[in-house]
Amino acid sequence: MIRFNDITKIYTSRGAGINNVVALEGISFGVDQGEFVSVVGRSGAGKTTLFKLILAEEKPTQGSILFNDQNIYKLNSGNLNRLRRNIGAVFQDYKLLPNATVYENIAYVMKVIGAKDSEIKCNVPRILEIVELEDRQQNYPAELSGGERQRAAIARALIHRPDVVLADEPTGNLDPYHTLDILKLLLKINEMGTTVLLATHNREIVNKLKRRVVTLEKGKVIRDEQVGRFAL
Amino acid sequence: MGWQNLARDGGIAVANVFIIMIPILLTSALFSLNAAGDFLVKELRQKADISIYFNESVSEDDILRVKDKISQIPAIGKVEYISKDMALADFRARYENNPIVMESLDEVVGNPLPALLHVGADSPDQLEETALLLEQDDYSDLIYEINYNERKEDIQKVFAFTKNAQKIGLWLFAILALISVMVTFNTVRMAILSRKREIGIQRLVGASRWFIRGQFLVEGLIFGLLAGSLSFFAASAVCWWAGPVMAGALSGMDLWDHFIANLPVILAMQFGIGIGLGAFSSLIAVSRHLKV
Repeated sequence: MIRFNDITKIYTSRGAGINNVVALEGISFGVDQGEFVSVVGRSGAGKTTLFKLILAEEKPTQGSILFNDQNIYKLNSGNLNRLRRNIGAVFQDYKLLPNATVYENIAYVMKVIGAKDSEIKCNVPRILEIVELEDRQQNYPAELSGGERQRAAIARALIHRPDVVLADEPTGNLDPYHTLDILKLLLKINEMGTTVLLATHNREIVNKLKRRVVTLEKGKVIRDEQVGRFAL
Repeated sequence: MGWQNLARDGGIAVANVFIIMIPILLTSALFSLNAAGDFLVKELRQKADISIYFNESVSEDDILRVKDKISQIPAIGKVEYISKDMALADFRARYENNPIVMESLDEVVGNPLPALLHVGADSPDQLEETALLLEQDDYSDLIYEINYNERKEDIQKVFAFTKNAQKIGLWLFAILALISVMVTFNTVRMAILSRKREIGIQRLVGASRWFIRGQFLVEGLIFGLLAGSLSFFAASAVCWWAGPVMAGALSGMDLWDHFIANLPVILAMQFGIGIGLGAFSSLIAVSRHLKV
Protein backbone atom coordinates (compact mmCIF):
# COMPACT_ATOMS: atom_id res chain seq x y z
CA MET A 1 0.00 0.00 0.00
CA ILE A 2 2.74 2.45 0.98
CA ARG A 3 6.28 1.98 -0.27
CA PHE A 4 9.26 4.10 0.82
CA ASN A 5 12.08 3.96 -1.74
CA ASP A 6 15.43 5.25 -0.54
CA ILE A 7 13.94 8.34 1.09
CA THR A 8 16.34 11.04 2.23
CA LYS A 9 15.29 14.37 3.65
CA ILE A 10 17.79 17.10 4.42
CA TYR A 11 16.69 20.40 5.90
CA THR A 12 19.06 23.04 4.62
CA SER A 13 20.29 25.72 6.93
CA ARG A 14 19.78 29.38 5.98
CA GLY A 15 23.41 29.93 6.70
CA ALA A 16 26.39 28.65 4.78
CA GLY A 17 25.15 25.03 4.77
CA ILE A 18 27.27 23.99 7.72
CA ASN A 19 24.30 23.20 9.92
CA ASN A 20 22.12 21.22 7.48
CA VAL A 21 19.97 18.68 9.27
CA VAL A 22 19.68 15.17 7.87
CA ALA A 23 16.24 14.19 9.10
CA LEU A 24 15.99 10.92 7.13
CA GLU A 25 18.58 8.93 5.24
CA GLY A 26 18.06 6.05 2.86
CA ILE A 27 14.68 4.95 4.28
CA SER A 28 13.23 1.97 2.43
CA PHE A 29 10.36 -0.18 3.64
CA GLY A 30 6.78 -1.01 2.77
CA VAL A 31 3.45 -1.10 4.58
CA ASP A 32 0.74 -3.49 3.42
CA GLN A 33 -2.97 -2.88 3.54
CA GLY A 34 -4.47 -3.65 6.91
CA GLU A 35 -1.15 -3.59 8.78
CA PHE A 36 -0.58 -1.94 12.13
CA VAL A 37 2.95 -0.52 12.16
CA SER A 38 4.58 1.34 15.00
CA VAL A 39 7.36 3.72 13.92
CA VAL A 40 9.49 4.23 16.99
CA GLY A 41 12.51 6.28 17.92
CA ARG A 42 13.71 9.01 20.19
CA SER A 43 12.65 12.61 19.68
CA GLY A 44 14.36 13.87 16.54
CA ALA A 45 14.70 10.41 15.01
CA GLY A 46 12.60 11.43 11.99
CA LYS A 47 9.16 9.99 12.75
CA THR A 48 7.21 13.21 12.19
CA THR A 49 9.24 14.00 9.07
CA LEU A 50 8.30 10.61 7.67
CA PHE A 51 4.61 11.31 8.24
CA LYS A 52 4.90 14.76 6.67
CA LEU A 53 6.39 13.16 3.59
CA ILE A 54 3.50 10.70 3.33
CA LEU A 55 1.06 13.62 3.50
CA ALA A 56 3.13 15.47 0.87
CA GLU A 57 3.53 18.40 3.23
CA GLU A 58 7.24 18.13 2.54
CA LYS A 59 9.17 16.82 -0.42
CA PRO A 60 12.07 14.41 0.00
CA THR A 61 15.53 15.49 -1.03
CA GLN A 62 15.90 12.10 -2.66
CA GLY A 63 13.77 9.04 -3.23
CA SER A 64 10.09 8.47 -3.69
CA ILE A 65 7.01 7.30 -1.84
CA LEU A 66 4.46 5.15 -3.62
CA PHE A 67 0.89 5.10 -2.38
CA ASN A 68 -1.10 2.37 -4.09
CA ASP A 69 1.69 2.26 -6.71
CA GLN A 70 1.46 6.01 -7.43
CA ASN A 71 4.40 8.31 -6.82
CA ILE A 72 2.82 10.90 -4.59
CA TYR A 73 5.26 13.62 -5.67
CA LYS A 74 4.23 13.30 -9.28
CA LEU A 75 0.55 13.80 -8.56
CA ASN A 76 -1.22 16.94 -9.77
CA SER A 77 -3.04 19.03 -7.17
CA GLY A 78 -6.40 17.34 -7.78
CA ASN A 79 -4.97 13.85 -7.27
CA LEU A 80 -2.95 15.05 -4.31
CA ASN A 81 -6.14 16.26 -2.64
CA ARG A 82 -7.70 12.85 -3.34
CA LEU A 83 -4.66 11.19 -1.75
CA ARG A 84 -5.02 13.31 1.36
CA ARG A 85 -8.68 12.35 1.59
CA ASN A 86 -7.53 8.78 1.69
CA ILE A 87 -5.35 9.42 4.73
CA GLY A 88 -6.58 10.29 8.20
CA ALA A 89 -4.12 12.11 10.45
CA VAL A 90 -4.07 12.32 14.24
CA PHE A 91 -1.62 14.51 16.16
CA GLN A 92 -0.31 14.92 19.65
CA ASP A 93 -1.96 18.34 20.01
CA TYR A 94 -5.31 17.12 18.56
CA LYS A 95 -5.64 20.10 16.16
CA LEU A 96 -9.35 20.53 16.90
CA LEU A 97 -11.18 23.76 16.08
CA PRO A 98 -11.65 25.40 19.49
CA ASN A 99 -14.85 27.26 18.55
CA ALA A 100 -16.64 24.24 17.14
CA THR A 101 -18.33 21.39 19.01
CA VAL A 102 -17.20 17.79 18.67
CA TYR A 103 -19.96 17.20 16.13
CA GLU A 104 -19.01 20.34 14.19
CA ASN A 105 -15.33 19.44 14.21
CA ILE A 106 -16.09 16.09 12.63
CA ALA A 107 -18.72 17.44 10.25
CA TYR A 108 -16.32 20.19 9.17
CA VAL A 109 -14.14 17.69 7.35
CA MET A 110 -17.09 16.43 5.35
CA LYS A 111 -18.14 19.99 4.47
CA VAL A 112 -14.64 20.77 3.26
CA ILE A 113 -14.67 17.82 0.89
CA GLY A 114 -18.10 18.76 -0.37
CA ALA A 115 -20.30 16.14 1.27
CA LYS A 116 -24.07 16.64 1.30
CA ASP A 117 -25.88 17.46 4.53
CA SER A 118 -27.65 14.11 4.40
CA GLU A 119 -24.32 12.27 4.27
CA ILE A 120 -23.02 14.30 7.18
CA LYS A 121 -26.13 13.60 9.27
CA CYS A 122 -25.74 9.90 8.53
CA ASN A 123 -21.99 9.44 9.00
CA VAL A 124 -21.09 11.67 11.93
CA PRO A 125 -23.27 9.84 14.50
CA ARG A 126 -21.88 6.52 13.25
CA ILE A 127 -18.32 7.67 13.84
CA LEU A 128 -19.19 9.15 17.22
CA GLU A 129 -20.47 5.72 18.19
CA ILE A 130 -17.22 4.05 17.17
CA VAL A 131 -15.15 6.44 19.28
CA GLU A 132 -17.76 6.39 22.09
CA LEU A 133 -18.36 10.14 22.14
CA GLU A 134 -22.11 10.22 21.44
CA ASP A 135 -22.78 11.91 24.78
CA ARG A 136 -20.17 14.58 24.22
CA GLN A 137 -20.98 15.64 20.67
CA GLN A 138 -22.30 19.06 21.64
CA ASN A 139 -19.34 19.89 23.87
CA TYR A 140 -16.45 22.13 22.85
CA PRO A 141 -12.86 20.87 22.99
CA ALA A 142 -12.12 22.93 26.09
CA GLU A 143 -14.84 21.00 27.91
CA LEU A 144 -13.32 17.60 27.15
CA SER A 145 -10.60 15.58 28.81
CA GLY A 146 -7.39 14.88 26.90
CA GLY A 147 -8.52 11.41 26.02
CA GLU A 148 -11.88 12.63 24.78
CA ARG A 149 -10.23 15.27 22.64
CA GLN A 150 -7.99 12.67 21.07
CA ARG A 151 -10.97 10.45 20.40
CA ALA A 152 -12.68 13.39 18.72
CA ALA A 153 -9.55 13.90 16.63
CA ILE A 154 -9.55 10.23 15.68
CA ALA A 155 -13.21 10.47 14.74
CA ARG A 156 -12.39 13.41 12.49
CA ALA A 157 -9.57 11.41 10.94
CA LEU A 158 -11.92 8.52 10.23
CA ILE A 159 -15.03 10.33 9.01
CA HIS A 160 -14.06 10.29 5.35
CA ARG A 161 -13.24 6.54 5.55
CA PRO A 162 -9.54 6.69 4.81
CA ASP A 163 -7.51 3.64 3.90
CA VAL A 164 -4.70 4.76 6.20
CA VAL A 165 -4.57 6.49 9.58
CA LEU A 166 -1.33 8.22 10.56
CA ALA A 167 -1.16 8.79 14.30
CA ASP A 168 1.77 10.98 15.30
CA GLU A 169 2.35 10.64 19.04
CA PRO A 170 -1.40 10.54 19.74
CA THR A 171 -0.88 9.70 23.39
CA GLY A 172 1.95 12.17 24.02
CA ASN A 173 -0.23 14.46 26.15
CA LEU A 174 -2.30 11.76 27.84
CA ASP A 175 -2.13 9.92 31.14
CA PRO A 176 -1.70 6.11 31.11
CA TYR A 177 -5.44 5.48 31.48
CA HIS A 178 -6.38 7.54 28.44
CA THR A 179 -3.34 6.25 26.56
CA LEU A 180 -4.72 2.75 26.82
CA ASP A 181 -8.10 3.95 25.64
CA ILE A 182 -6.62 5.48 22.52
CA LEU A 183 -4.57 2.39 21.76
CA LYS A 184 -7.64 0.20 22.04
CA LEU A 185 -9.43 2.53 19.64
CA LEU A 186 -6.59 2.41 17.12
CA LEU A 187 -6.56 -1.37 17.30
CA LYS A 188 -10.32 -1.43 16.80
CA ILE A 189 -9.92 0.75 13.71
CA ASN A 190 -7.24 -1.55 12.41
CA GLU A 191 -9.46 -4.58 12.94
CA MET A 192 -12.05 -2.87 10.76
CA GLY A 193 -9.54 -2.90 7.90
CA THR A 194 -7.82 0.47 8.13
CA THR A 195 -4.04 0.52 7.90
CA VAL A 196 -2.55 2.28 10.93
CA LEU A 197 0.88 3.87 11.23
CA LEU A 198 1.62 4.93 14.75
CA ALA A 199 4.62 7.12 15.56
CA THR A 200 5.64 6.98 19.19
CA HIS A 201 8.57 7.10 21.55
CA ASN A 202 6.58 5.35 24.28
CA ARG A 203 8.19 1.98 24.99
CA GLU A 204 5.26 0.60 26.94
CA ILE A 205 2.74 1.20 24.19
CA VAL A 206 4.89 -0.58 21.64
CA ASN A 207 5.60 -3.53 23.83
CA LYS A 208 1.92 -3.91 24.71
CA LEU A 209 0.81 -3.87 21.07
CA LYS A 210 2.94 -6.80 19.92
CA ARG A 211 2.73 -5.63 16.31
CA ARG A 212 5.27 -4.75 13.63
CA VAL A 213 7.84 -2.21 14.77
CA VAL A 214 10.07 -0.08 12.54
CA THR A 215 12.79 1.56 14.60
CA LEU A 216 14.41 4.83 13.52
CA GLU A 217 17.60 6.29 14.88
CA LYS A 218 19.23 9.44 13.56
CA GLY A 219 17.09 9.29 10.44
CA LYS A 220 17.87 5.67 9.54
CA VAL A 221 15.90 2.44 9.89
CA ILE A 222 17.91 0.32 12.27
CA ARG A 223 15.35 -2.41 12.84
CA ASP A 224 12.16 -3.68 11.24
CA GLU A 225 10.48 -6.56 13.08
CA GLN A 226 7.11 -8.16 12.47
CA VAL A 227 6.40 -8.63 16.16
CA GLY A 228 8.77 -6.14 17.57
CA ARG A 229 9.75 -4.61 20.84
CA PHE A 230 10.90 -1.08 21.60
CA ALA A 231 14.64 -1.48 21.98
CA LEU A 232 17.05 1.42 21.50
CA MET B 1 -17.61 29.51 4.30
CA GLY B 2 -16.54 33.07 3.40
CA TRP B 3 -19.79 34.42 4.90
CA GLN B 4 -19.26 32.38 8.09
CA ASN B 5 -15.73 33.68 8.51
CA LEU B 6 -16.98 37.22 8.03
CA ALA B 7 -19.62 36.79 10.70
CA ARG B 8 -16.95 35.53 13.08
CA ASP B 9 -14.73 38.63 12.65
CA GLY B 10 -17.58 41.14 12.46
CA GLY B 11 -15.80 44.14 13.95
CA ILE B 12 -12.89 43.98 11.56
CA ALA B 13 -15.25 43.40 8.67
CA VAL B 14 -17.21 46.56 9.49
CA ALA B 15 -14.03 48.62 9.66
CA ASN B 16 -12.88 47.25 6.33
CA VAL B 17 -16.16 48.03 4.65
CA PHE B 18 -16.00 51.64 5.81
CA ILE B 19 -12.44 52.01 4.60
CA ILE B 20 -13.41 50.82 1.11
CA MET B 21 -16.42 53.15 1.12
CA ILE B 22 -14.20 56.23 1.25
CA PRO B 23 -12.74 56.06 -2.28
CA ILE B 24 -16.14 55.01 -3.63
CA LEU B 25 -17.85 58.04 -2.13
CA LEU B 26 -15.05 60.30 -3.28
CA THR B 27 -15.47 59.07 -6.85
CA SER B 28 -19.22 59.65 -6.65
CA ALA B 29 -18.60 63.17 -5.37
CA LEU B 30 -16.19 63.85 -8.23
CA PHE B 31 -18.74 62.54 -10.70
CA SER B 32 -21.36 64.95 -9.35
CA LEU B 33 -18.86 67.79 -9.18
CA ASN B 34 -17.97 67.24 -12.82
CA ALA B 35 -21.63 67.31 -13.79
CA ALA B 36 -22.25 70.47 -11.74
CA GLY B 37 -19.25 72.12 -13.37
CA ASP B 38 -20.52 71.26 -16.86
CA PHE B 39 -23.96 72.54 -15.96
CA LEU B 40 -22.65 75.84 -14.61
CA VAL B 41 -20.52 76.40 -17.66
CA LYS B 42 -23.50 75.75 -19.92
CA GLU B 43 -25.58 78.20 -17.92
CA LEU B 44 -22.91 80.86 -18.06
CA ARG B 45 -22.55 80.43 -21.80
CA GLN B 46 -26.24 80.93 -22.29
CA LYS B 47 -26.12 84.15 -20.29
CA ALA B 48 -23.27 85.53 -22.35
CA ASP B 49 -24.79 88.12 -24.64
CA ILE B 50 -24.39 91.55 -26.24
CA SER B 51 -26.95 94.34 -26.16
CA ILE B 52 -26.54 96.81 -29.04
CA TYR B 53 -28.30 100.14 -28.49
CA PHE B 54 -29.03 102.25 -31.56
CA ASN B 55 -29.23 106.02 -31.95
CA GLU B 56 -32.65 107.70 -31.82
CA SER B 57 -32.61 108.54 -35.51
CA VAL B 58 -31.80 105.08 -36.85
CA SER B 59 -34.61 103.50 -38.86
CA GLU B 60 -35.95 100.03 -38.29
CA ASP B 61 -34.65 98.96 -41.74
CA ASP B 62 -31.09 99.92 -40.78
CA ILE B 63 -31.41 98.01 -37.52
CA LEU B 64 -32.70 94.92 -39.32
CA ARG B 65 -29.79 95.21 -41.79
CA VAL B 66 -27.35 95.10 -38.89
CA LYS B 67 -29.28 92.12 -37.47
CA ASP B 68 -28.84 90.20 -40.74
CA LYS B 69 -25.15 91.00 -40.79
CA ILE B 70 -24.64 89.71 -37.30
CA SER B 71 -26.70 86.56 -37.93
CA GLN B 72 -24.17 85.53 -40.59
CA ILE B 73 -21.36 85.23 -38.05
CA PRO B 74 -20.77 81.48 -37.45
CA ALA B 75 -21.95 80.08 -34.08
CA ILE B 76 -23.96 83.20 -33.26
CA GLY B 77 -27.10 82.12 -31.45
CA LYS B 78 -30.22 84.18 -31.19
CA VAL B 79 -30.35 87.75 -32.52
CA GLU B 80 -33.43 89.47 -31.19
CA TYR B 81 -34.72 92.89 -32.29
CA ILE B 82 -36.41 94.88 -29.54
CA SER B 83 -38.12 98.05 -30.78
CA LYS B 84 -38.42 101.22 -28.69
CA ASP B 85 -42.03 100.38 -27.84
CA MET B 86 -41.14 96.84 -26.81
CA ALA B 87 -38.27 98.16 -24.70
CA LEU B 88 -40.60 100.57 -22.93
CA ALA B 89 -43.18 97.85 -22.29
CA ASP B 90 -40.44 95.57 -20.84
CA PHE B 91 -39.20 98.35 -18.65
CA ARG B 92 -42.69 99.11 -17.30
CA ALA B 93 -43.30 95.44 -16.59
CA ARG B 94 -39.97 95.09 -14.74
CA TYR B 95 -40.45 98.12 -12.53
CA GLU B 96 -44.21 98.21 -12.14
CA ASN B 97 -43.87 97.71 -8.39
CA ASN B 98 -41.35 100.51 -8.02
CA PRO B 99 -43.38 103.78 -7.76
CA ILE B 100 -40.34 106.05 -7.83
CA VAL B 101 -39.09 104.64 -11.12
CA MET B 102 -42.58 104.69 -12.61
CA GLU B 103 -43.10 108.31 -11.52
CA SER B 104 -39.79 109.30 -13.07
CA LEU B 105 -40.72 107.59 -16.31
CA ASP B 106 -44.06 109.39 -16.44
CA GLU B 107 -42.33 112.72 -16.11
CA VAL B 108 -40.19 112.10 -19.15
CA VAL B 109 -41.65 113.22 -22.44
CA GLY B 110 -41.81 110.49 -25.08
CA ASN B 111 -39.99 107.18 -24.96
CA PRO B 112 -36.45 107.57 -23.62
CA LEU B 113 -35.48 103.99 -24.31
CA PRO B 114 -33.58 103.14 -27.49
CA ALA B 115 -34.25 100.22 -29.84
CA LEU B 116 -31.73 97.42 -29.43
CA LEU B 117 -30.48 94.09 -30.67
CA HIS B 118 -29.90 91.26 -28.21
CA VAL B 119 -27.22 88.88 -29.45
CA GLY B 120 -26.48 85.48 -27.84
CA ALA B 121 -23.65 83.05 -28.76
CA ASP B 122 -22.32 79.60 -27.91
CA SER B 123 -19.05 80.97 -26.72
CA PRO B 124 -17.76 84.29 -25.51
CA ASP B 125 -15.30 84.27 -28.42
CA GLN B 126 -18.13 84.74 -30.92
CA LEU B 127 -19.44 87.66 -28.91
CA GLU B 128 -16.03 89.24 -28.95
CA GLU B 129 -15.93 88.88 -32.73
CA THR B 130 -19.37 90.50 -32.98
CA ALA B 131 -18.34 93.41 -30.78
CA LEU B 132 -15.21 93.99 -32.88
CA LEU B 133 -17.27 93.93 -36.08
CA LEU B 134 -19.68 96.54 -34.75
CA GLU B 135 -16.89 98.84 -33.63
CA GLN B 136 -15.89 99.40 -37.26
CA ASP B 137 -16.60 102.74 -38.95
CA ASP B 138 -19.54 101.35 -40.96
CA TYR B 139 -21.62 101.21 -37.85
CA SER B 140 -20.36 104.17 -35.82
CA ASP B 141 -23.26 106.40 -36.95
CA LEU B 142 -25.89 103.84 -36.11
CA ILE B 143 -24.81 102.49 -32.75
CA TYR B 144 -25.15 104.41 -29.53
CA GLU B 145 -23.62 101.81 -27.19
CA ILE B 146 -22.52 98.18 -27.11
CA ASN B 147 -23.07 96.45 -23.78
CA TYR B 148 -20.91 93.36 -23.76
CA ASN B 149 -21.80 91.11 -20.80
CA GLU B 150 -18.42 89.63 -20.19
CA ARG B 151 -18.74 86.04 -19.04
CA LYS B 152 -15.51 84.81 -20.47
CA GLU B 153 -13.62 85.18 -17.21
CA ASP B 154 -16.35 83.50 -15.22
CA ILE B 155 -16.47 80.57 -17.61
CA GLN B 156 -12.72 80.17 -17.52
CA LYS B 157 -12.80 80.29 -13.71
CA VAL B 158 -15.39 77.52 -13.59
CA PHE B 159 -13.39 75.45 -16.08
CA ALA B 160 -10.20 75.92 -14.11
CA PHE B 161 -11.91 75.10 -10.83
CA THR B 162 -13.49 71.95 -12.22
CA LYS B 163 -10.23 70.82 -13.81
CA ASN B 164 -8.22 71.41 -10.64
CA ALA B 165 -10.87 69.73 -8.54
CA GLN B 166 -10.73 66.73 -10.87
CA LYS B 167 -6.92 66.55 -10.62
CA ILE B 168 -6.97 66.81 -6.84
CA GLY B 169 -9.84 64.34 -6.73
CA LEU B 170 -7.94 61.83 -8.84
CA TRP B 171 -4.88 62.06 -6.62
CA LEU B 172 -7.05 61.72 -3.52
CA PHE B 173 -8.79 58.73 -5.06
CA ALA B 174 -5.46 57.08 -5.83
CA ILE B 175 -4.20 57.63 -2.29
CA LEU B 176 -7.43 56.51 -0.66
CA ALA B 177 -7.72 53.50 -2.93
CA LEU B 178 -4.17 52.52 -2.02
CA ILE B 179 -4.98 52.87 1.67
CA SER B 180 -8.12 50.74 1.23
CA VAL B 181 -6.13 48.08 -0.58
CA MET B 182 -3.49 48.05 2.16
CA VAL B 183 -6.02 47.90 4.97
CA THR B 184 -8.03 45.12 3.33
CA PHE B 185 -4.81 43.30 2.46
CA ASN B 186 -3.77 43.46 6.10
CA THR B 187 -7.14 42.28 7.31
CA VAL B 188 -7.09 39.27 5.01
CA ARG B 189 -3.48 38.58 5.97
CA MET B 190 -4.40 38.64 9.66
CA ALA B 191 -7.33 36.37 8.95
CA ILE B 192 -5.01 33.93 7.19
CA LEU B 193 -2.58 33.99 10.11
CA SER B 194 -5.29 33.62 12.75
CA ARG B 195 -6.86 30.74 10.86
CA LYS B 196 -3.64 28.85 10.32
CA ARG B 197 -4.93 25.89 12.29
CA GLU B 198 -8.15 25.77 10.31
CA ILE B 199 -6.27 26.09 7.02
CA GLY B 200 -3.93 23.32 8.13
CA ILE B 201 -6.88 21.04 8.81
CA GLN B 202 -8.41 21.90 5.46
CA ARG B 203 -5.18 20.99 3.70
CA LEU B 204 -4.83 17.78 5.68
CA VAL B 205 -8.25 16.51 4.73
CA GLY B 206 -7.71 17.24 1.06
CA ALA B 207 -9.50 20.54 0.48
CA SER B 208 -8.68 21.90 -2.95
CA ARG B 209 -6.43 24.90 -3.33
CA TRP B 210 -9.30 27.01 -4.56
CA PHE B 211 -11.52 25.98 -1.65
CA ILE B 212 -8.87 27.23 0.77
CA ARG B 213 -8.04 30.39 -1.18
CA GLY B 214 -11.61 30.95 -2.24
CA GLN B 215 -12.96 31.63 1.22
CA PHE B 216 -10.61 34.61 1.60
CA LEU B 217 -11.38 35.88 -1.88
CA VAL B 218 -15.08 35.64 -1.08
CA GLU B 219 -14.46 37.70 2.05
CA GLY B 220 -12.77 40.42 0.02
CA LEU B 221 -15.60 40.40 -2.51
CA ILE B 222 -18.16 40.66 0.25
CA PHE B 223 -16.31 43.65 1.75
CA GLY B 224 -16.46 45.29 -1.65
CA LEU B 225 -20.13 44.48 -2.24
CA LEU B 226 -21.16 45.78 1.15
CA ALA B 227 -19.09 48.92 0.68
CA GLY B 228 -20.69 49.48 -2.73
CA SER B 229 -24.19 48.99 -1.33
CA LEU B 230 -23.68 51.29 1.63
CA SER B 231 -22.03 53.91 -0.57
CA PHE B 232 -24.97 53.77 -2.94
CA PHE B 233 -27.43 54.37 -0.11
CA ALA B 234 -25.31 57.15 1.37
CA ALA B 235 -24.95 58.90 -1.99
CA SER B 236 -28.70 58.54 -2.65
CA ALA B 237 -29.53 60.05 0.71
CA VAL B 238 -27.14 62.97 0.24
CA CYS B 239 -28.38 63.74 -3.28
CA TRP B 240 -32.02 63.47 -2.27
CA TRP B 241 -31.53 65.83 0.66
CA ALA B 242 -29.00 68.21 -0.87
CA GLY B 243 -30.56 68.36 -4.35
CA PRO B 244 -33.23 70.98 -3.70
CA VAL B 245 -31.08 72.72 -1.08
CA MET B 246 -28.13 73.24 -3.42
CA ALA B 247 -30.17 73.96 -6.57
CA GLY B 248 -29.90 77.69 -5.89
CA ALA B 249 -26.10 77.58 -5.70
CA LEU B 250 -25.91 75.42 -8.81
CA SER B 251 -28.03 77.66 -11.01
CA GLY B 252 -30.99 75.32 -10.84
CA MET B 253 -29.22 71.99 -11.22
CA ASP B 254 -30.88 69.40 -8.95
CA LEU B 255 -28.38 66.79 -7.74
CA TRP B 256 -31.15 64.28 -7.16
CA ASP B 257 -32.39 64.57 -10.75
CA HIS B 258 -28.81 64.11 -11.94
CA PHE B 259 -28.44 61.07 -9.67
CA ILE B 260 -31.58 59.42 -11.05
CA ALA B 261 -30.68 60.24 -14.64
CA ASN B 262 -27.26 58.60 -14.23
CA LEU B 263 -28.30 55.72 -11.98
CA PRO B 264 -26.82 52.87 -14.08
CA VAL B 265 -23.46 54.64 -14.34
CA ILE B 266 -23.36 55.45 -10.64
CA LEU B 267 -24.32 51.89 -9.67
CA ALA B 268 -21.71 50.40 -11.98
CA MET B 269 -19.07 52.79 -10.70
CA GLN B 270 -19.71 52.23 -7.01
CA PHE B 271 -20.05 48.47 -7.13
CA GLY B 272 -17.23 48.18 -9.64
CA ILE B 273 -14.80 50.12 -7.46
CA GLY B 274 -15.92 48.33 -4.28
CA ILE B 275 -15.67 44.83 -5.69
CA GLY B 276 -12.47 45.69 -7.52
CA LEU B 277 -10.71 46.99 -4.41
CA GLY B 278 -11.97 44.16 -2.20
CA ALA B 279 -11.09 41.37 -4.60
CA PHE B 280 -7.73 42.87 -5.54
CA SER B 281 -6.59 43.27 -1.93
CA SER B 282 -7.64 39.72 -1.06
CA LEU B 283 -5.91 38.32 -4.10
CA ILE B 284 -2.62 39.94 -3.14
CA ALA B 285 -2.92 38.81 0.50
CA VAL B 286 -3.75 35.25 -0.52
CA SER B 287 -0.95 35.09 -3.08
CA ARG B 288 1.63 36.36 -0.65
CA HIS B 289 0.63 34.73 2.59
CA LEU B 290 -1.26 31.55 1.76
CA LYS B 291 0.98 28.85 0.44
CA VAL B 292 -1.16 25.87 -0.53
